[in-house]
Parts: sequence; structure tokens; C-alpha cells
Amino acid sequence: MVKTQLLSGRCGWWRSLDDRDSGWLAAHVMRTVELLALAAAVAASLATENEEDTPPQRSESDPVHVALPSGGAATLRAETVWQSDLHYDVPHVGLVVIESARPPMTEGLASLADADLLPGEQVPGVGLVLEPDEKGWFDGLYSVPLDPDGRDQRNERAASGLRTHWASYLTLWNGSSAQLKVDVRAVASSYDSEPRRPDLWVYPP
Amino acid sequence: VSRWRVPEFMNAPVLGAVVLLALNDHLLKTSAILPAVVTGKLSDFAGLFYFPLLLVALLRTVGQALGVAVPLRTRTVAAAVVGTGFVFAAVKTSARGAATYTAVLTWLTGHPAHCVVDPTDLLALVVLPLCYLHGRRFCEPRRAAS
Repeated sequence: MVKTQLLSGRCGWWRSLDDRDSGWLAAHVMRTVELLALAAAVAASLATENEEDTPPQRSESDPVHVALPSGGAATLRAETVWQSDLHYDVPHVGLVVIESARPPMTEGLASLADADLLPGEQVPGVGLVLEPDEKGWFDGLYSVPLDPDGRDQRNERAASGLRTHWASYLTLWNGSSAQLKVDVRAVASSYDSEPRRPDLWVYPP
Repeated sequence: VSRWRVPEFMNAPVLGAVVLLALNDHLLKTSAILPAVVTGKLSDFAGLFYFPLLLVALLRTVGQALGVAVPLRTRTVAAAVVGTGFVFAAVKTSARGAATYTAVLTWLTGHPAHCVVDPTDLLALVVLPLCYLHGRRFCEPRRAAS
């Protein structure tokens, strides 16, 4: 009996729909789709200027290999320039990324920590993690903020907007030789600005 | 005859613009498929095409929910187009406008928003007449005076 009703489409739930206006179901489905589309459009409109959606601008330098003499020290200077067409200052974050460093640089780690980036800490918005292995070796991507608070940062009014100049100094210590591969990733809050390919120096050369 | 209650929004060009904006913001901008200069402008063009009609559709939807009939008139579409263009121009050319817009958006979403003052984005205003012409197709004809 039930099977017959199902096959004939006359069981209770379906019949209750059938008894209504023929367009009742379609109208409600269309109304729901309409409201969902409006909600999605509102969400897309609100999210379009969301900072989380802004892709980072990256400009990597050539790798720099540093061989530190025994008992010596070296200072890495990373510098980059934004030539932006923006007409007011917007916050930017610059990063020095150390891809690898061997052997361990425990004092270098302290220097990294001084840069407000602790081991295991994730760089907001970038996802890089500073986490040496159990031997204290740097083996992976490590990041140091390029001092976004303004030290050694200069803004110059250029003809077509704003020129922002960043430089950061990172002192590396080691008792023996080390090989560093370093690059700079300039992360801008505006995808309209293009960071210049950064320059790197090591002192002493 | 469309059975949508807000046909000015429920049509392929407008919905396509919404999808294009979402794809651009969440996919194209984070990939290297298109240069940043293109993806930076694409959202402006797509957004300006659909946003006035979204405003009209929202107004009419709220009106319907409140039991107030809001007929789709050309002057309603025109007002939405002009208003959108005015706000967009203010945000893209004035630091104060951008700051106000950023503050409102941050308050609405609860997430830090940012906005770039970039007068070259005003190029996207060229789609507003297209938006008006497209929205006008769905407007109810004016009744002849008896």
C-alpha cells in the first residue's frame, strides 16, 4: 500500500505539497536561492578589502653564502625599497628569511629572538616558523621582521608617490664556518606596490 | 517574465561579476596567474558592476520583508549607481575617505581591513554606465498618465 502510494506520488508529504499551489515549492526554492545569492554577494563585498585576503608582495634577493671565520662575527644588512604609487603611508612589513644556517648559531638565535620573533613563533600572515632542531641548527625558513617600527626606515616623497626605504641589520655569530642562504621577502599590505629586488650585504665582506 | 523577486540581481552578468570578484580576491590575487596590476583592478571593475544592483536588490528585499513594495524604477538604479560612484571616488582619492571606509569595513566585519588610495582605480568607474544600462532592462515600465 505504502509502496503503491510512493510510486504514485500520493503519499502524505508529497500529497500535501501537491495540494498547494503548483508553484509553491518552486517559489520557495527560488526565494531561498535568491537570499543565499544576496548574502554571498554581501559577504564577497565585505571581504574584498579584508587584509587577510591581500597577497604578500615578495621580492627575493640572490642567495648570499656567508662563511664566518672561527671566532668571528658578521653582520648581515638587508635593504629593500618600495616605490609605490600610493599617496599616503600604509603599513608594510619586511622580512629577512634565512633558509639555512649550519652549524648551530645559538647566539645568532638570541639575536633573532631580540627581533621579537621567538623560536616556534609563527610570523603573522606569512606562516613561517622559527624553530631550530634539537641541535639548535637552523634548517628551514626563519624570519626576522625588518623592523617595521621605523628604525632605519625612510620615506621619501617621489614624483609618482611614496618611496619607502628599509634596511635591517642582523648580527650573526659563530665559532666556526657557516653557510647562510638568505633572501628577503618584502610583504606589503598593498598589492598595488611593488617592492624592488632587495640587496644584501655582509660585513665584513 | 522572470519569476525572481529581484531580477535585477538574479541574472548571469551580475552573478558572474560576483563570482569573478570572489575568484579574484581569493584565488587570482594569491597566485601568479595574472600580474598584480591586473588583479588589483579586476575586483574594482567587477565590484562596481554588481554593487549598485546589489544595493537596489537589498533595498527591495528588505522592503518586501517589511511589507513595503519597492518597485524597480530607473531612478532607483540611477541613484544607486551615482551613490556607488561617488563613494568609490571619495575612497580612492582621499586619505580621509579611505580611512573612514576602512573603519566602517573593519567595524562591519570584525577583521582589520585596509584600503588603498589610488586614483588610477577610478578607471573602473567606466563600468557604472554599463551597470545602469543593464539594470534598466529590468525596471518596470512607467505607466502612462490617464
